Amino acid sequence: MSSTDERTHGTDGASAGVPMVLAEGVHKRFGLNEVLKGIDMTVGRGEVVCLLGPSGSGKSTLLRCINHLEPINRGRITVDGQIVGYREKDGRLHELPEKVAVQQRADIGMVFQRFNLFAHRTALQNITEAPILVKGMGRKQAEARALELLERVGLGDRGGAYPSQLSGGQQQRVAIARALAMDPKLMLFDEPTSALDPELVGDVLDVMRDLAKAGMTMVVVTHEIGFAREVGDRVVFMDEGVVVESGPPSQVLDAPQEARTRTFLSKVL
Amino acid sequence: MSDDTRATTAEDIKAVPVRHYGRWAVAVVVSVFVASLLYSAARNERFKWDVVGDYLFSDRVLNGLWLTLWLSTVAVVIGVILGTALAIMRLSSNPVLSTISLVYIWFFRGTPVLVQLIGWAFIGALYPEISFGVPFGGPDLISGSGNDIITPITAAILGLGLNLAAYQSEIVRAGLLSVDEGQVEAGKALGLTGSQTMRRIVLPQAMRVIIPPTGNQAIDMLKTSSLVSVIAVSDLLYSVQLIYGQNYQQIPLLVVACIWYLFFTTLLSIGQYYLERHYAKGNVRSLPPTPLQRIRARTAGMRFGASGGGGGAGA
Ligand SMILES: Nc1ncnc2c1ncn2[C@@H]1O[C@H](COP(=O)(O)OP(=O)(O)O)[C@@H](O)[C@H]1O
Ligand SMILES: [Mg+2]
Repeated sequence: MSSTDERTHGTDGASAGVPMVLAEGVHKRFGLNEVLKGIDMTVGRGEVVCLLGPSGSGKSTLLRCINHLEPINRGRITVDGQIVGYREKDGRLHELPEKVAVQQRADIGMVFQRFNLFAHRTALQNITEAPILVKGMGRKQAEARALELLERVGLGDRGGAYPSQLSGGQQQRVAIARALAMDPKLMLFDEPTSALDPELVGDVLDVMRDLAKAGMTMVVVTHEIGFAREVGDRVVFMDEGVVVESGPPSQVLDAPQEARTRTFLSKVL
Repeated sequence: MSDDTRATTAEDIKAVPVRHYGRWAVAVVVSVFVASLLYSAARNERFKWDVVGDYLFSDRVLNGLWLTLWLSTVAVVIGVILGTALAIMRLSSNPVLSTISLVYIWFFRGTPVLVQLIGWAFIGALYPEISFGVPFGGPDLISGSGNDIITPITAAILGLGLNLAAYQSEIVRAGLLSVDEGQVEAGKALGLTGSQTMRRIVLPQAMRVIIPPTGNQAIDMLKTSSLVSVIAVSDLLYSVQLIYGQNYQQIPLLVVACIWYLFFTTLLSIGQYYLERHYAKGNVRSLPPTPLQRIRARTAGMRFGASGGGGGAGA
């Protein structure tokens, strides 16, 4: 799993010049099945990048590689200037010990298609769990913060509800609040509205729109072309494990250069 | 309004329930049968209820009962802890750990527990000297003759506990597998470590699946522990056997033992019921009322003349 790439990247995180996410030549295989075939992608600070592409093109896999839920086979990914999952020493990559890897992940929020709220915890407890366990925050403080976040996603009065007592749209908004509770510097969204009834999509998109306005760096896998057009700073179109086309929404969505992009858009729009 | 044969739509429905005459008939027949059975047992002098009464609280019986209770408890605790560890090993990506777990389960589930008990009791014949210490010639920490270290009680604990662990590990494994992978994923994405995810997210949710068969195992252990009478451990059954060996009152003494077994299995079932409710949190939209809540709801219902209907189901 060592890279032949000898370049060194600054390890001092907060340097403002470094992009938030930098993926270079990322390859990912599951067995013999190569799912990502050399992805290059940059996400600037405060930028909202919408990731489009047909099912099976590797969008979810790319997101999971960005927070190291999946290790990559070749290339490298840095988040805020730090190599994800590894440490570079003497030109070789060393796997990070779990304690450190976990800290990296704690700084990256993730929102899933199927919400994945902890079923045995109330909405409030879902939000306080990680700040208490990972950041060592006091229960009182964590709860106060969780209430604030619930207000922010429009669910101030549902803190005591279990996920099974909430609608899909409400669950997804709690999931967003849960991710925000860790004060992430980057948020990854994997088709956050695909599992929702149409009338519930708007509430979730509103929350995401506010988040983008507040300056959060976001990578959003979505089929909501309207959202991509309005909120996205850039659109990246993927197919079969490669980036086919990327650019501002006006360009990729309204004047796509590639035939594959046009075919896809004609199906989604 | 009561004269009106048409129900108005503005009121709650008060439908006349369907009469289940068949159900009533069966219930009456079965009740009569059970009652006559109980009556005949109570009247049958060969049960010698006076002897039962004499021995129910006798010291020897109570001593045996006490041993049965703590032996079963220790065996269940060992079984649950070791079983959970075995299940986690079995699911681990480390091939050595998962193979060890697999072989353990294969052996302890594949041989009769009675043989395992006898095996532990006679371990002294296999290993006259036992020592625990640094392996491959390092210093010993504990050592002694096999018979000193493995007393009948130790053999009973090991035999029952290690056997239970094999079964328990399969129960725990099924529970762990029942938890959606997305839960693990969400835990990891938030920065929880693997063991935090296991302890805080996966295990509590697996409990819903783990508790019912585990309660079954605990109840079973209370009775299976009676097998230790073959290695001369004076549990409840062995104690009554010793007594009826002297006075030939087999039936009343076996009744004494059964009364105690029934009493404690009943207690365990009640405990299991409440544990299940505890771990059902978040999975059942509103839990069914406990018997106590049901009685309260019913008496309240009678007072107000309402017909049944959801009482105070606590969320
Ligand atoms: N954990 C996995 N093991 C094996 N194959 C996988 C795994 N995850 C994804 N894949 C495969 O990778 C390909 C891309 O999947 P995914 O990234 O989920 O695509 P998308 O999100 O764009 O629909 C699919 O063919 C899928 O079957
Ligand atoms: Mg996907």
